[in-house]
Amino acid sequence: MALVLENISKNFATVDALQDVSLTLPHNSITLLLGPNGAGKTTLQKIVAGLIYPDSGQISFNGQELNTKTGVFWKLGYVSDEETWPGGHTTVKEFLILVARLKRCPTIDSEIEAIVNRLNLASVLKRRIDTLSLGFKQRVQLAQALIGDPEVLLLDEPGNGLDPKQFQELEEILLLEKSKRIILISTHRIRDCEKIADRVAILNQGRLSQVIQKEDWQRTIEKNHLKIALESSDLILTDFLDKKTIQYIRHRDWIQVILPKPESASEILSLLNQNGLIPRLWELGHINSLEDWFFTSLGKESA
Amino acid sequence: MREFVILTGFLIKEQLAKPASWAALSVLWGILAFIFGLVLEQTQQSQMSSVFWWTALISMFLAPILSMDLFKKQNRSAFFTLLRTFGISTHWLSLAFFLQKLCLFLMIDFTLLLMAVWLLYYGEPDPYILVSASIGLLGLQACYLGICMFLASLMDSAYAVLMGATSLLLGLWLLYYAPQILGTSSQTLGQIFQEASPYQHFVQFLNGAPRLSDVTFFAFLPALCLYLAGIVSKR
Repeated sequence: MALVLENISKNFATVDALQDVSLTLPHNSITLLLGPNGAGKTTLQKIVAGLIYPDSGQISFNGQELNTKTGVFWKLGYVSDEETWPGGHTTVKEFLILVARLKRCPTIDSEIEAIVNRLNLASVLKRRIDTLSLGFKQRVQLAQALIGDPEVLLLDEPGNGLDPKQFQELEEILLLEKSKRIILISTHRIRDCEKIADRVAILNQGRLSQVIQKEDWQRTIEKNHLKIALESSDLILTDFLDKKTIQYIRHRDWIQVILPKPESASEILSLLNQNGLIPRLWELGHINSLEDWFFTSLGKESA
Repeated sequence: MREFVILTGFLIKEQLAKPASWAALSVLWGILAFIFGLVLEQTQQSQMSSVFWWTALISMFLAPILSMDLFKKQNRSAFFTLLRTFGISTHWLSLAFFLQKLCLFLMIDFTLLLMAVWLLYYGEPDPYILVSASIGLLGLQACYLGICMFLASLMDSAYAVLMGATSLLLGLWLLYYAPQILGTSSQTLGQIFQEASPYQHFVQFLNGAPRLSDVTFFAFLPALCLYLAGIVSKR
């Protein structure tokens, strides 16, 4: 079971918000959508949510194509970065009942009760949403998204305004929820989300620059690495690395070599020299966290 | 359709649960009651056309205030966005929000009903004219609300909606006087402009002589505005 986005492009007047973005979101997984401001994260989420229609591209769920022009994905939960309740005097219970009725839940009371218990909202059920703390407001947002047992959960900046403890609680909830669905989170809080993410997709200037699996970044963290971008084919390099059983990750236009020992770098560079391959760019570095990963990727993209 | 009914019911309930709504309604009821008493005392006649006229004038300024924050990129618009993820079309959403606001106008109009009952009991008003004027007033209010909602869907700034919608409604009101302004030289043009003014059609109802074109205008204009608002807010 997977949500597949193929060649999604979206243009706003003169701005290319998204260009040929293809991404597969597998079931039982949390994918982080990272990128600087204006990279197209929210646009991509809104396209998946059916709020914006792509100029081209296709979205399919379980092999079934979704009509991106007219329909929204029915089994979908959406947590916006804005306050999505009606305001005024609406209580948590009234809001959740409204959402359950609009989502056509067959058993409203039992469904709300289950979600309220899961998210520890029982104590504030009769309170006005406006009067709640940010942490509780975020839980209410999540509760409305979980109503109807959605197969896809989209969260846009879910950590906004939350303190570390509140964020940790949110992470715990998301980890529990991921077993049943596809979760896509767009965020700037890379360090906080690192623990829960199974994969990371990096958007930069409307293009999907990388998709990294958890295993990939975990094996590079706390290790030296060499980033090489070649002008021509990198076959000689990858052959050499394969022979020497040196791990590497191939990116769109560069290769990241995880160095078993620091002196391997000079070995690799001299091999390239011997073969007349002059790197367009090379850089020796050390990755400490996913955040480092993100910044190195962005830096390389810009270069 | 089922979702639309649920949502409209919720929105109306939410609107009426706000103390601010009741505070505003109380003030407006007080003003209208004062006008009614004053007119009655001065004319000594059992007619309510002045009260209807004042209500129409108040509605012209009230409609932009009620719709100014409907689609702006804060609070309610985020709720609007959330509702779209449930698969409810923007046309149904626009209609639900329209009915929520129209409900407030109905509450204002309710005081006119009380006055009419009072007049029927103590005086000899023409009931046909009272009914006709009431329908005309509601049609006018629906037009104003529709126009304001369409403008609100076009603009991000609530204050731009307020200023733009008020100016537009004032302009439409002034179109009623186009024949007088343009004079005899452009009589046809003046009449065309006059027919474009919602106030012209309201006056027909107020006089107890509504034409088919007046009924059509009051049905068509709000529907068109809501349809366009639905299209615009989809983007």
